[in-house]
Amino acid sequence: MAQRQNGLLAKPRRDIFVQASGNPAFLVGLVFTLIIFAAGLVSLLWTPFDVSLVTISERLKTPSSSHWFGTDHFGRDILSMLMVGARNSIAVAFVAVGIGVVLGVPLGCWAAANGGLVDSVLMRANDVVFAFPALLSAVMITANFGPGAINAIIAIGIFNIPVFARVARAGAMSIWPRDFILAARAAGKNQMQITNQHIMPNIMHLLIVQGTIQFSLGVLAEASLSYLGLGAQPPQPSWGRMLAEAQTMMAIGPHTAVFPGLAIVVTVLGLNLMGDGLRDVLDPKMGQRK
Amino acid sequence: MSVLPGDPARLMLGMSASESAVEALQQQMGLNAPLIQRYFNWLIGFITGDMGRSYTYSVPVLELVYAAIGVSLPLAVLALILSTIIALPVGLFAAGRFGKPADNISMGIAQIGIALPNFWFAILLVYAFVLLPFQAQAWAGQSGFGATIAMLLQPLFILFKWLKLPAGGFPGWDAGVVTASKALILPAIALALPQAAILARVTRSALLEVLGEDYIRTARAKGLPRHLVLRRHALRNAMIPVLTILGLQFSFLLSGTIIIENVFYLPGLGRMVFQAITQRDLIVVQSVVMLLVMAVIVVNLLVDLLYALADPRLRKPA
Repeated sequence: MAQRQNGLLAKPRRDIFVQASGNPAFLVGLVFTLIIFAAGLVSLLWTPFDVSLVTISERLKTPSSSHWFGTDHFGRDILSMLMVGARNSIAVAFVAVGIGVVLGVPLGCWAAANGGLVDSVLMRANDVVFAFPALLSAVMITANFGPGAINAIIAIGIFNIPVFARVARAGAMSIWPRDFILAARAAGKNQMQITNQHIMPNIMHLLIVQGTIQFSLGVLAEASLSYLGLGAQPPQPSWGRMLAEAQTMMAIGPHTAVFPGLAIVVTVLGLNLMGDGLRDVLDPKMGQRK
Repeated sequence: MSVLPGDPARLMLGMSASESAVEALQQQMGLNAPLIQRYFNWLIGFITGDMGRSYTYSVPVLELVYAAIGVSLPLAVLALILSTIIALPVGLFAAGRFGKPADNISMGIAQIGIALPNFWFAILLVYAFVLLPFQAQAWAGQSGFGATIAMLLQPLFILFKWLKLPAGGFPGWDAGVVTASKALILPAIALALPQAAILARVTRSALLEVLGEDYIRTARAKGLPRHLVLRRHALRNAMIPVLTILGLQFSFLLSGTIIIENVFYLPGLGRMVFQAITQRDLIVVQSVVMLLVMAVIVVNLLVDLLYALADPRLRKPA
């Protein structure tokens, strides 16, 4: 009965985004996120300059009307590189979240539906993954299978699996004892049908919030890995590696370190604000405290 | 890691090494034994304090680890202290002004702090503390906006120059405690700030939760001023979630050292394990990872013990 009083479950899910649009944090986050997404999308068709164009005479130029964010030590346009880098960051984080959802959610739902041994084994396996510093394992995976965007995706994605399994399990477990599930059972639906038709719609909002959070963590993790040289490889621009290169140029071109860092902050901040806003709307009790 | 591709013996000898040479080295390194046997040999050694010899450096792993802990442990502890002394006052401040502009502004700053990648922050710190004071000297001679700013910040720059914080590297504890500690200050700030942002938010929400309790109203009703209620009654009761997050953050700090020690070229555990992974120095990786996981467990145990200190209700009746 406690679940029924919980605003989180009683609320119809369709109007989440309508409600969230009244939340200032959500709106600011949405704008930030859209800017980065738009930059990444536009870069597929057009960038101010060719990112592989090396013009040594133009190297380390400070921001100007032709190069809005200046140029790097090879004379490449930083704005163009950031736009292509946005594509890379978004793609890595998106697929990594996808791995977490596609593998984690069914696992969590399965554990919630069956309980018992299946549940304990899955949750203990989860604990093991959680006890490990995630970045350390990601470094191990990418260092062993070779650096690159694909391996970065796998390394980040693996750590999303237990996260989504946990959220899906917790959500599903609060739905299973409810009356309408009993009704569905009485109507002769099997476990799979109940999960798909009744559990999933009711835990979708939890997964959306977790998805935005994991997305932002994915962007940060990708930046960290590519900073260490284990992410996307040159000449493919990536924000983390731009920072690694800028670090050596700090004395002569400090602007090269400013913009990639800002791009990461704007993306992560945007996604976090969106996640917070959505959670506030979904769980008013949390909203008052956070 | 043993099951992953990349044979340490082959890596050490290079691509052009003959099969027989690789085999001989594998024999010498004990790589021919079955995986399970190698693992148990190492595990028994680890427990008895013999972690084996590094494949790359050919010195006992214990020696390497010992030196690295001397850098990483002080760094992590310094970062933890810094993040706590930043986060608790900010959390108190924001909770005391719940819903007011001061609360919104400090939580907005905390949001930015969470979004800040620590390696970028580290790079900016190096710039501000080490490079900028000298570059600003040149601007001060010129006219215009930059010169005014440089003039205004002059006292700060003089302080930074006087501090002489190194941009990276570690002189070793033999160079004296002050010199060595100086090398850890910027890395500790870079590690601490994003964690402090998270901790400040947790402190604030834990405090707000407690502030709704009856005993807070009682304390207010008996005439205690608001700030005293916050400090004496609320903070203490809000410590449990704060301690939990602090314990969890220790593991984040440890993985943070992998990045930060690389930014600052510090010879700590994080940099060591990163290099060992790229050099397939399996025995070093195993030992360091085991140590890190053990450290996380020990810290969580300490946190559990601290619960009792923070909350008398959790102490067993005598």
